[in-house]
Amino acid sequence: MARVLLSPASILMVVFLGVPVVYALVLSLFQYDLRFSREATFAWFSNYQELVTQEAFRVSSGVTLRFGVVVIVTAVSLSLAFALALRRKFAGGGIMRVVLLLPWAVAPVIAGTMWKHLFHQQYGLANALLYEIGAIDEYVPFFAQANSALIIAGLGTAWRWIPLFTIVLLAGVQAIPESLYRAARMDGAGPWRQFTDVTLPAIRGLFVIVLLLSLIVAMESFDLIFSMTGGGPGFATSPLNYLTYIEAFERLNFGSGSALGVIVAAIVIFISFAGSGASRLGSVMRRRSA
Amino acid sequence: MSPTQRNGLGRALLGTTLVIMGVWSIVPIGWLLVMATQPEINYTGAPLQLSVEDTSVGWLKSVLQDDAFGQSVANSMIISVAVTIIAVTFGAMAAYALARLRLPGKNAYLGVIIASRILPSMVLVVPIFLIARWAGLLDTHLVLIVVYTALLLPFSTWLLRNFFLQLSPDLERAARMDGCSTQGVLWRVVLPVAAPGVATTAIFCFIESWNSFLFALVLTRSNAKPITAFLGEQANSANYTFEATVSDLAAGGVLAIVPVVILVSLLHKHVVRGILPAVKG
Repeated sequence: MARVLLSPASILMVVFLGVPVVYALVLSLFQYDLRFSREATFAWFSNYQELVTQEAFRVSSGVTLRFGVVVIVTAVSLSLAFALALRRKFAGGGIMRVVLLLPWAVAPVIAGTMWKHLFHQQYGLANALLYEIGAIDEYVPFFAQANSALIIAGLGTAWRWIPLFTIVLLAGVQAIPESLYRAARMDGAGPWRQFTDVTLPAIRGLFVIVLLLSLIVAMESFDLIFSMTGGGPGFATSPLNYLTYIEAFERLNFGSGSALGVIVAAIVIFISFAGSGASRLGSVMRRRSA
Repeated sequence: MSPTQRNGLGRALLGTTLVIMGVWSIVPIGWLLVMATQPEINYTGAPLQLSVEDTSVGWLKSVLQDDAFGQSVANSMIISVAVTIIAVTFGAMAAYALARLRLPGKNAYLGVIIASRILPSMVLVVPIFLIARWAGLLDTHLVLIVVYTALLLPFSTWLLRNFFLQLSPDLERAARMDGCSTQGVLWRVVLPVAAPGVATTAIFCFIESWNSFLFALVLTRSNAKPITAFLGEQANSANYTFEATVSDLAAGGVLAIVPVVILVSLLHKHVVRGILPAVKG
């Protein structure tokens, strides 16, 4: 009976998750470039070799790192701040929670449009405000410069996921017993010390989870970048995951695109395992020193 | 932070953070709404000349009457509803088996479920595109329904399993002793009792389907294109084409987020409840 109950889900997952994964691995070993030929020819690891030496790949790797930093820093700091602000009940708290959740309700591809329009060189609110306060004389094309485009893309990505991270941290923060704070205060700790000595250690596990999740979010980001910058200018906002799409569906090189997809998947899987291993190692070491 | 909040500095910090949170969350959405309800001239170029008199829902209305837009909304609705129903049903079946029944290799199965949630979906796009093309299913509702369901099943199974595990087995045991079959226990006893959890899972499945973009972009052309792919493509093209003004596109964006925003606003307790087991698992 268990098998019967499991079978519909299993069949769907095997056919549309399992088979494609294997297919992607296999495809990555083939030269399958629709611009040159409708046939796929076996080519061992040449896709991987070519990729690693490509200029776009090197640029994109750098972009991935910088993009990851922006996303992680923004997401972690803001979600922690918001979680701390929401921990007690207060008048209007319910509404604030709904407000907090709103960015998560927005589809990432639409969020890209929103942030694009915020910083647009013609319709942008940011430009309008900067102009009003006299900081600029004419509108700035934020998306024409690599650095500002990357930062805005990172902000937008973090924006959409912060509600999730805040809720996770909020649960952790609300679980800290008041007695710990009282004890700290009796030892003469001020609010900052209470934060570093009580709050932070108590949520260390969740903090690492949020850190890892924001890194994974950055690695897998696509929708928002597609509608916001299309990966540009040049490849300035094309992390590896976005490059995969370009390679596969704009350059129509399925072999190379699959190889890139495999590389990104391997990186994400590695991060997940390394992260959870590190947090387990951390808690083991803490227990030893306690 | 409790007594320190009673002092001025603590209060000020709290208030500032909340204001930042409000502004940060609302402004991007609000600006799109402004662009959707003001004539283009008012917000193009310096200086900003928004005016209350010029506010109009005209663009929202004209976008709704556009055939292509309306079709894409219908597509999103069909696909999301179908995916929700199937993912919750199959997920509940698998979750019940994993939560309550004996099964060799159960841990392996759970491991596979966790692994599939980590896997970035981009790696699946080329293979699934090729499979769909070979099966002649490109640009059909069916292909998106099936793909989205498969992508959501690990998540839905995981969530529902967590909810089922929280139920006391006594009720099920009593039903079994009354001669109820396993399937009967699932459909007539467990699901009604776990209704809040099922609702949470359903909401998540709907939201994820509605907001999904990548596979919609790659697997559809004109027939089954959901609203996200429709608008995303417009935003990506270098100039706004097909006789749409910027206000029209902004209006489209606003309308596209309405269903999910309403869902999340009304059912935020469910959403919060779903996020925690989904993440900590």
